[in-house]
Amino acid sequence: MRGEVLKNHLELLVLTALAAGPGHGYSIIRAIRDRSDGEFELLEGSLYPALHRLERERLVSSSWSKVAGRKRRVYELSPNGRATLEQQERDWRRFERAMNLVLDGT
Amino acid sequence: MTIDGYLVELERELRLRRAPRARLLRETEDHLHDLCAELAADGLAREQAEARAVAQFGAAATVAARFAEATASTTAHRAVNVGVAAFLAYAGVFVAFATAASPVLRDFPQGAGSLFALQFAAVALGVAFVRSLRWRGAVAAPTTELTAIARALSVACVALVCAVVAEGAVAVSRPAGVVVWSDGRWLTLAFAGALAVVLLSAIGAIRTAAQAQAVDALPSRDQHGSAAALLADDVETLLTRARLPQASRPLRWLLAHPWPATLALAALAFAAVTATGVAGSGGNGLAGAATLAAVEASLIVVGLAAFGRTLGLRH
Repeated sequence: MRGEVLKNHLELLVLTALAAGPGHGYSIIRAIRDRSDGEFELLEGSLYPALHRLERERLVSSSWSKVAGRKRRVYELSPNGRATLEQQERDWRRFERAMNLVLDGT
Repeated sequence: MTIDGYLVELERELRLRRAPRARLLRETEDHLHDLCAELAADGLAREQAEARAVAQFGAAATVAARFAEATASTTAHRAVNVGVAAFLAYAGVFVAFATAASPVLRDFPQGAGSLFALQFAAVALGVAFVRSLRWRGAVAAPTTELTAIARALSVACVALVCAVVAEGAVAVSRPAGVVVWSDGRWLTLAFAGALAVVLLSAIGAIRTAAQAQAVDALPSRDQHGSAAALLADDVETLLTRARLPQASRPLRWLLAHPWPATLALAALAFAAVTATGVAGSGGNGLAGAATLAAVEASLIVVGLAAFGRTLGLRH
């Protein structure tokens, strides 16, 4: 699954991946792919505009850190980001429940 | 394509300032080398691994477009914040000004120009704020919304500048016997401060308009219907988030029928302004109050006719 569908939910996916702990761009992509059992294949370049924007919104913070001997930009969920994630997760669950009701009724 | 070749192309496509561009290029380079190493470990030759990594990352023009959309959204949200701050700052000064020299406001039309312009600014900023609030937190707002926010901000800023100029004109042409600005130094300073914030908001509006236009020119831009239809969706979404979904139906009806709603609002404004004017003058100023009320009601109707489409309030 890729393209527009994922683009509209990219923020939730990124925040969820970071909820498990700080990570750099590449590890976030891998986390999303692994947790979706390979279903979600993001256009990898679209991750960075999203990360930079989440940082400007103060939902994540970032700093250069050494990871496996290399300097990387590592992103971390902020308290605001955690609250936003919880809200978005609630919204998604509600949407999912309503969608299931509609689909099951057909 | 090699990783180095891709980075050169991406640098050429990106429309960012030097620092964020350098950071993105560095992150992209790291990402591509990681991906390339993973693909090489799976058995691909170096050249094939680089080509696959670049393809998986996405075309340079697409990545640059995503950045442009995200940057334009952030700029729009910030510009709306500054616009609201400018409105509050100037409205505060206006009230202080009117309180310090109330006879000027009572001698219609002096001061009225600024008051009317402030009302235009309030409506335009309200529209921009609702649209912006709906899309805060999302990676990027749809292009239609960005364009609508940019237009609403432009209308609001022009109205605010007109309000400041109109009030400035009143200030320097005060009739004798009324408090002059030189006697109210704090008021003059507050006016200058508000003017500075208004000018800042105008810069924000110009930047928003320029970036929204650039995003609109992208081949991969998002289009999600008309600005008027999106505004109704935005209001409904915000009310649902605020757990007030029952309020969305009447508001949606009002937005779907802008002319009856505007005429009703104009009639209400006429009655309220007339009643306030008559009460304020001890029952002797019916003609003056009715004139002011008629101008107010007319401007509400003219406002929808002139700016309704620009603000996305009507089709």
